[in-house]
Amino acid sequence: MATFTDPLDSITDPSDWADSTFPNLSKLDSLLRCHICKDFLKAPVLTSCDHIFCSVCIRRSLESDKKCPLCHEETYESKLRKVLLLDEISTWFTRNRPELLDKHRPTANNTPEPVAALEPEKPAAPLRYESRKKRAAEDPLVECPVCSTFMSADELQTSHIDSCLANKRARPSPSRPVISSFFKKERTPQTQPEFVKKKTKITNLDPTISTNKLKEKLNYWNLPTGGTRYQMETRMKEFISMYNANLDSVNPVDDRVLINRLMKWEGTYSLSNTAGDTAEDGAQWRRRYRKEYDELIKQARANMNRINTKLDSTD
Amino acid sequence: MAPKISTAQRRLLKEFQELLKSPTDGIVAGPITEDNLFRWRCILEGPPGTVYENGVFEAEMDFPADYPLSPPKMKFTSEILHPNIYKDGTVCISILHPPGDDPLQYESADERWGPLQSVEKILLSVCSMLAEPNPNSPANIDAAKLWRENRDKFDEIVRAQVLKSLD
Repeated sequence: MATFTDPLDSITDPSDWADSTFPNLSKLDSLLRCHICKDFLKAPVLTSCDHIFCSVCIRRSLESDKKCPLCHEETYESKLRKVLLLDEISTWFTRNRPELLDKHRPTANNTPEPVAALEPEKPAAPLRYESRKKRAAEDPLVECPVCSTFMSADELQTSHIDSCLANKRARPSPSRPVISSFFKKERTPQTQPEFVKKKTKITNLDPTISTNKLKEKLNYWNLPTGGTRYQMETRMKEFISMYNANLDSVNPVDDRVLINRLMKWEGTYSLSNTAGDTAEDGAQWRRRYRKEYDELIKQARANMNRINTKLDSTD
Repeated sequence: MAPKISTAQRRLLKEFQELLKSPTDGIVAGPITEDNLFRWRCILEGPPGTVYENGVFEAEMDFPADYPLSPPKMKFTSEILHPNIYKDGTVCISILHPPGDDPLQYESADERWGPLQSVEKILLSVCSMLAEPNPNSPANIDAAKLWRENRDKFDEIVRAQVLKSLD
């Protein structure tokens, strides 16, 4: 049973916010989701009809039908435009969602005033390492124009800039390098790393391509050339969708990571084709849904009795 | 960390979770076994006000690996007489048809399969199909003929099936 419930728990849903102290967050939660995979947007792209999907989802979908799944207007892959800002927002939300959810969990014996957790901490409180760490996660960090260290705007203005100007050698306190070095790694918002800019999208596979040419293509991208023609074609198509979608991401990964994902994808893909369950599984299923099933039958019988008695009384 | 599962599996789990969290009246659906998310069993209640009323019909759904890009197949395992259901139980309904293969274009794109459709929408469509058969594209010619020409007999057979479904 555990194998079944565990993945179910890992699936998030906007309704998770319903019992929180800030149920309105479910709106934001659902807005940041892709209409196709129902998960948070990954490398979102805008169609020519102004609809947004995960890059990989819409690319896979356009493969079979050149229409927007939402409005059925004709849409082409070449018209898709990445929306890096939204990618960052979605990534931020996905990363911080567990903590946000946790912070807005109503406590058992003390019902907090709603939105209390959203209010800023008392400004008078002395800045300790803990609170600074928290701030680092919530406030946008700014760079000190003198020493290029990243910190909260508040800290920069109140104490750091003065001491930094007075003594250019002033280094952050011992606890800081961890944070600053971590954030230094981050690029300026809404830009992609250089290596991506040099890459161009792979054009879609020509369905009439010869098997030899197809193998050459797979070889070129270091992909396995095993399996049937259909398997090779599917592999190549999926790689093209993944590769092109990766170029739409604000945090793109290396080609080798993509190939790794492709292989995992192929593993799960073939799994579904394994048939094999019948009578015994049916019994198992019935046991699981016994309650619902009985309930339905009970209702149906009750309805029937009602109708019968009505019929009797009219007779 | 979430275990590595495919987009299709995630999406199916998500739909299953939604159906558990906010069940729709007259519909129960879920994976048959825990290790294969691509095979579901569904229970449909016959829509009230129709000859199928009070019936509890079982069906199975088979999902393709590229779900939700391609639609699942749906097949009733309970006996059910209906113009749009093949004799073997396979359901013929526009929502289960991919947008590609409709040369006559008599089904509008909205009614057909697309990645935005869902198990719940399919089952609701099947419920309304039970309520209002589409005589223009019969899957079971005999049932369609009976439905058109001898409704009393048709209703009688269905009522017997309804009773049988409750056993």
